[in-house]
Amino acid sequence: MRTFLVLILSLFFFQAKSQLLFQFTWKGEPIRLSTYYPLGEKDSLQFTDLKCYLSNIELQGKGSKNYQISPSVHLINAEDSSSFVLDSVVDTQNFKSISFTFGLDSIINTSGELEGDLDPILGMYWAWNTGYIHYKFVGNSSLVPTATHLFDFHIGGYRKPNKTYFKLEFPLTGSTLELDLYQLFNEKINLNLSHQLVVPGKLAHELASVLKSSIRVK
Amino acid sequence: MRILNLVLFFAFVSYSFVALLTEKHPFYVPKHFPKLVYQFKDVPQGRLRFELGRTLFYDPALSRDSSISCATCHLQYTGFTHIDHPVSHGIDGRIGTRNSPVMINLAWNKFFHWDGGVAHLNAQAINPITNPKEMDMDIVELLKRLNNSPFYRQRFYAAFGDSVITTPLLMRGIANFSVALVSANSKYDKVILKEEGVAFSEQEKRGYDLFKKYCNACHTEPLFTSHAFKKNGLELDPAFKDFGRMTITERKADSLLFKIPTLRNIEFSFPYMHDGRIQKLKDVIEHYSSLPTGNKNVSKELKKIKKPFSEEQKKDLLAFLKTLTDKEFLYNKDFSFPKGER
Repeated sequence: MRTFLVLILSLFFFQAKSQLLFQFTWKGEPIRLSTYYPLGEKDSLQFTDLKCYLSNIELQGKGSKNYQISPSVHLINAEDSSSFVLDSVVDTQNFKSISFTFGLDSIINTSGELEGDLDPILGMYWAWNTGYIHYKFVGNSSLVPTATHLFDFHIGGYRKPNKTYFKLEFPLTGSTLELDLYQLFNEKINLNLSHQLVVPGKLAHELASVLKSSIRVK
Repeated sequence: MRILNLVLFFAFVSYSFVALLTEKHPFYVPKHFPKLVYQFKDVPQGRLRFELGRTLFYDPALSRDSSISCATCHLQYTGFTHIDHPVSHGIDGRIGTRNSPVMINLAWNKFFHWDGGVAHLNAQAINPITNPKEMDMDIVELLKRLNNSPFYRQRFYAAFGDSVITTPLLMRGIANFSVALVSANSKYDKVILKEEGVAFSEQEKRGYDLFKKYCNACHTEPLFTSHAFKKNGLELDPAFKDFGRMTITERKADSLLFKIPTLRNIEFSFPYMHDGRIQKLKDVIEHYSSLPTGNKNVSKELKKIKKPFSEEQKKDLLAFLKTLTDKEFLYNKDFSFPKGER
């Protein structure tokens, strides 16, 4: 009986290890919603809503076989830990690299498909300008000078030259994709001067470019 | 006798239902029209889907306080626009900043709204439904409302084989109605298709020649729009601060560019321009006839107009524009308020 249990447990462990995961991090540590993170010497911030789109994720095999993750559009929502699992079927150890679109490309943005993770009820759809918010970061910080101290960044847009999606590829050195928000909030954004963005444009493109360089495989 | 009545009644009901099932969706492609833009993924669409879309289009339950429907601002008899109102008003009498556009031959449109902000017909209806100045309805709330209605659950099941109403199903339902609004039976169409006994009058013919020379570059036949965005010489209204296409593209060059509207049924879709600032069609012609030469705020096509038009020419042009009126479309019973029990 004991052997059986160990077998079951080890199977479970093995399965869990091979899952492909996504994680929002702050200086390398997984972010928890409503937890305060220090900013500078005397300020801090907390996130209340973190969302992000990944799409067309593909694993390149060590041989010739590639593996496309289905469905092709994946919305990560910090409130729903099951959304961190990008794929639970495949064993990542059999693949050498991962490619994906960080955000959604212009084809998906304008397809008129409203199914699954593209459903406007998920709060990522921009009705006035067909398209999706690719990355949504909402929270509050002592640095924001308003009464509520709220910050709200809706980063999106698929038109050149201000597109906010990127086709990326990484060697698969681990099974977790991490998006670290420290650089964006500590170096790029000064919450004291700017705490809201709700339209596509140059700033959205700049912020997305910082995010792009804040991704790693671990 | 009573049993016979009952049997006859059920026979009639099932016959109507079967008739609806087998009857075709009213959308069609007129033979003189260009290639379709809208991709019909789920052909055959079927009459039931069209009827469901029609019911939704005319149902005020789609607005927050159930006071206005899509049809409130898109009336059939005027080419599905809101006549008499320069800009449209929505819930609680809130005033918008734009003239509600006509809904004509939408299956050939790549972009929607005056600024082209919406890129797909299936996604268009989300805007007026959720816009606080229009129907001000939360989509989640609306889905709850519809899913709580046995009538709609049954209708969606019959049309799409699914009684759980979701955003994509709701949008496809509405699009099944709006895509069907094809207008191609005006006098102009009959002349072009060489229908027997129909011909332009001398005045209409002169107007048509003038039209082809000066207007057709933007209001391109047979849809009477090239679907491009142009600057037509109207100054910015400081009350609205509407920069048109630039709001969407963020490009300075797109400032004050608005989508070229179709001229089909233009006789009845007054007032005119994106903010409805011109009341009469003859004044629109006057506007284009009197644009100062050298005005930098106009697109190149408008600079080619030999101005001003003579009084005769203006009348000729107006006479031609009236040949674009399609009464079969404006009074098509398929497109009007749906009869039947709720």
